[in-house]
Amino acid sequence: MNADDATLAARVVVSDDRAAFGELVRRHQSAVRRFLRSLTHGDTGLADDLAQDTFVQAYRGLARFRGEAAFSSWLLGIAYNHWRNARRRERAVPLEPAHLDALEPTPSAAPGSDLQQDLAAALGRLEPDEQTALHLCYQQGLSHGEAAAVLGRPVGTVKTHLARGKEKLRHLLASWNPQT
Amino acid sequence: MEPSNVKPDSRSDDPVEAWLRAGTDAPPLPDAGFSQRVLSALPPPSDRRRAASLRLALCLSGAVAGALIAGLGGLALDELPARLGAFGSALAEIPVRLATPASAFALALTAASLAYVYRRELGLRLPH
Repeated sequence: MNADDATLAARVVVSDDRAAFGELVRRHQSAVRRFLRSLTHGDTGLADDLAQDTFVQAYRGLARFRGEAAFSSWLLGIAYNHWRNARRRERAVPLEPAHLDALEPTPSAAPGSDLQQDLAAALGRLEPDEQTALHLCYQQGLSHGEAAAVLGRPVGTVKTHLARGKEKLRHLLASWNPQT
Repeated sequence: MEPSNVKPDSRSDDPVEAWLRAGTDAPPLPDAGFSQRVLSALPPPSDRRRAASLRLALCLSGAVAGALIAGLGGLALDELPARLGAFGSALAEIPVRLATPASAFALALTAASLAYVYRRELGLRLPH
């Protein structure tokens, strides 16, 4: 199925095409699940539950997708709101770095790499907003504006989170940087 | 001022940015039945169609009611009993009132707006 996301979404809205929605899920499941794993500090079970709820919520609200933003950004925005609501409602989502040791780490680009392990640990020591902004801009490849839309924050705030997060990482990973 | 559609510069010499970007090379997470679980969790098709039909019916009813009230020239509470008594005769006058260019234009505008907002739902009922 080679149709673009907006075409598939229109098929779902117009004729409740479940195959088209299945294709959208297959295309975007990795990005959404990876984003939620980042938010839940690698709790894959919780992240997948939230991801499933995200897609169901997206299905229910698909008529509101007007195509102004990329479908992936729209989905990540739903995922972020869903995670935030779940955290507020149940207070069950681990947020503190202390939980890191007990949870499965998010797979890195190069499993077994010491740098990637240190980077994952350092990311866990950042404020959630900083960590989320870095994940969206550097690992999901979103622009500052797209990340701001996902998080529901001004672009300037996202840039501030990015700058602070990178500065902290630079400090935490100083031993890996020959320039320091 | 930097525009908001800027992506972090992939040519940056900043090692922190390079380390962060290394994560984008990771292979996609395997689906492993995830999509199927999502599809199983979707609401039954009938609920969605019923909700869309109900929304359309409510909207059209509201539009018709609004047009009727507008056609009667507006209602004040103290005039309500008298207006209700004259409702039958007023109904007969509606086609005459609607025959004015301004009314026809207003109705056409309303219909066009509704058709635009509900174009996807209306597509269900139109041949492709």
